[in-house]
Amino acid sequence: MLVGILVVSSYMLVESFAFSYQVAIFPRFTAIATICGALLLLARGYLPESVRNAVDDSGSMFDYEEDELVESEEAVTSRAERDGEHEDASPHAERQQAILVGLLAGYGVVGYAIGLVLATPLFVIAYSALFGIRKRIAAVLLGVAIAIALSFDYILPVDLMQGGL
Amino acid sequence: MIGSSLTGAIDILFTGTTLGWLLVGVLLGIVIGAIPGLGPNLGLAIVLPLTVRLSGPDAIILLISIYSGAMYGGSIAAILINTPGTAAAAATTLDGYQMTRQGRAMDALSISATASAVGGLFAIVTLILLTPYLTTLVLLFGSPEYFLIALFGIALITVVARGSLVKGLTAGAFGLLLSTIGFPIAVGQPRYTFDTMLLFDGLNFVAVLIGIFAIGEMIKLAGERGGIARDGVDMDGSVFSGVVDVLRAPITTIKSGYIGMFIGAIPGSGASIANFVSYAETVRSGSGDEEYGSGNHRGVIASEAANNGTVAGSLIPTFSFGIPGSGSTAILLGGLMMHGLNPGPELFTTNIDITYSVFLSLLIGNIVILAVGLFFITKTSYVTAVNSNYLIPLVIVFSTLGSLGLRGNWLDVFTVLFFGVFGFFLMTYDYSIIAFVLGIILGPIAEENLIRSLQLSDGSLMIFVNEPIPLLLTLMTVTLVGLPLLKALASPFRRYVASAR
Repeated sequence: MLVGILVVSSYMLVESFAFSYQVAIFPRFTAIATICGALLLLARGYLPESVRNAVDDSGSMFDYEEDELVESEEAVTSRAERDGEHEDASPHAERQQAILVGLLAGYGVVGYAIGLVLATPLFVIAYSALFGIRKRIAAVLLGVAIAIALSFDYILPVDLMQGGL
Repeated sequence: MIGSSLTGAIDILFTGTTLGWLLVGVLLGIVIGAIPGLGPNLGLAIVLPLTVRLSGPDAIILLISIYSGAMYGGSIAAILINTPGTAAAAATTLDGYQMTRQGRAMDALSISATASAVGGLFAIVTLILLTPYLTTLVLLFGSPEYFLIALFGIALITVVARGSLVKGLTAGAFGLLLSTIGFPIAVGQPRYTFDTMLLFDGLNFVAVLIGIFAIGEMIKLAGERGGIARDGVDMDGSVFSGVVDVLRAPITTIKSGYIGMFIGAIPGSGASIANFVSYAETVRSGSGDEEYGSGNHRGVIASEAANNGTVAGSLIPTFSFGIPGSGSTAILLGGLMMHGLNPGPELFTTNIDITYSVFLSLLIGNIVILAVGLFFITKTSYVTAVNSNYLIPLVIVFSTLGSLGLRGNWLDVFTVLFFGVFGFFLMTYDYSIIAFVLGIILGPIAEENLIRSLQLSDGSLMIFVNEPIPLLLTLMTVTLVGLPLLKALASPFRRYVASAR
């Protein structure tokens, strides 16, 4: 992510030299600030200890209540562990999140091709299948999603039946 | 002045469908707040595009009612299943859930509703009384001050919030940078558009907000196994005795409301901090023979009065200077700007009636919270039985369709999806989301004021230091960023001196 931020801000900094002074000053100033921050964060491991501290440290005014926050989180976590829910089983969690990101990309592309109203039921069916939602609940979700899509098509001043192609 | 403005505000509130939107907002907010994993940010983000058809005052009143309702709603799951519906109700679990385990769930829920309403009411009345003074302060600010206050806001948010200061500043600067895509307001030359019309209007900040606060949250939620479904919560206890408990603790309730208001007014702090600070203060000032964390009603009062107090407090920097105090107020600010209501002098002069109508709607909203909280208390357990995993596809559908409705521009759909993923990574790697969002929202305002300031000073940067207020803001920003960094840089030296001693 940091590399992405660095690439985008570097491009925007270089491009800003093609603008007139007034148009360039703000993007140039913010691009330089972004690049400096991103470089510091990327090079954190190679910095002297004092500089690394400065990069990692929080300037929080409310540090003193972190203990209480942690305590509360522990209480919630222990309750969750007891009940076997809300566990971030890491590989499983990452797989689920990756699947959802893939579905999002698919939803966007298919929606662009055939229109969001038609893409919506396909997205919900795919989600239900991939996330193991029971058929009865999946049917309810599908019905609600179609109702939302048709309502939006009616309410919003945009034709959601049309794709972007 | 205040009298005629309030009369105008009452006219806005009691004509047309405004009160209906207020009621819808509060109810929706309570439900959204009560479902763990959702919360006010998501609720506001998915409703925002739907407000396109509403008038400015109706839209803002709907949004702020959702925010206020969600603050109370968060306590329901905290009390019944020990899982705070929102971060703002985290401290409520400490005594609220213990009360449920002791067969006093109804007491705890009615305490929460009453304390939320009373704390919120005192805070909002104070805000209304403070408004004339705020107006005087806001009118002292010109272009240089508004540019500097935008930078100060981002700096303050990164300092107040937990996490790396450099990460926060980087996120804020990147947000400001992305806001420069398209046609700048002040100077008519396209930037970073790749000669495509899609990018001429730049990134829509509302689409970015929806992406980060709705899609990003859903990606995060998808990684949590199972839902929050929970049946069989015993709804025992007495509504009446809960109300009496709050009435018997007026000092705790009012003090907590004001603590919430004060902390809410500090950008970046928000209700999640306020409820812990208020809880800690109540524990500190309590008589030694009171035990907290084992079902003490004062613990619930402290937390709940504070988090509703933050709503009024957070409106001070948001309306006055365009610096939101939290994710929710950032979306609210987006809503204001989407409806042509710019924060700052406009809201305190030409649109003062609208400003007061929003404040009055909060006042009425707190009464609605009290009524709903007390009369529908036995129904609240149904909300905690909702499996939030079933809501993921519906929230995504809502967000995606709504984003296309903003301008009919497909770029907004892809903005929502892209920034959903980007927001998820920001959360994962502990970057300040609020700083990034604030950068995106405030970018155009900051740039416009920067260019105007430079035009006034013939290009000289001295305009930012040659008057008392700009000088003070510059010094405050430099101090805010510089001090923590200097402290960290000096830490090895301090350790060396200590070991030498």
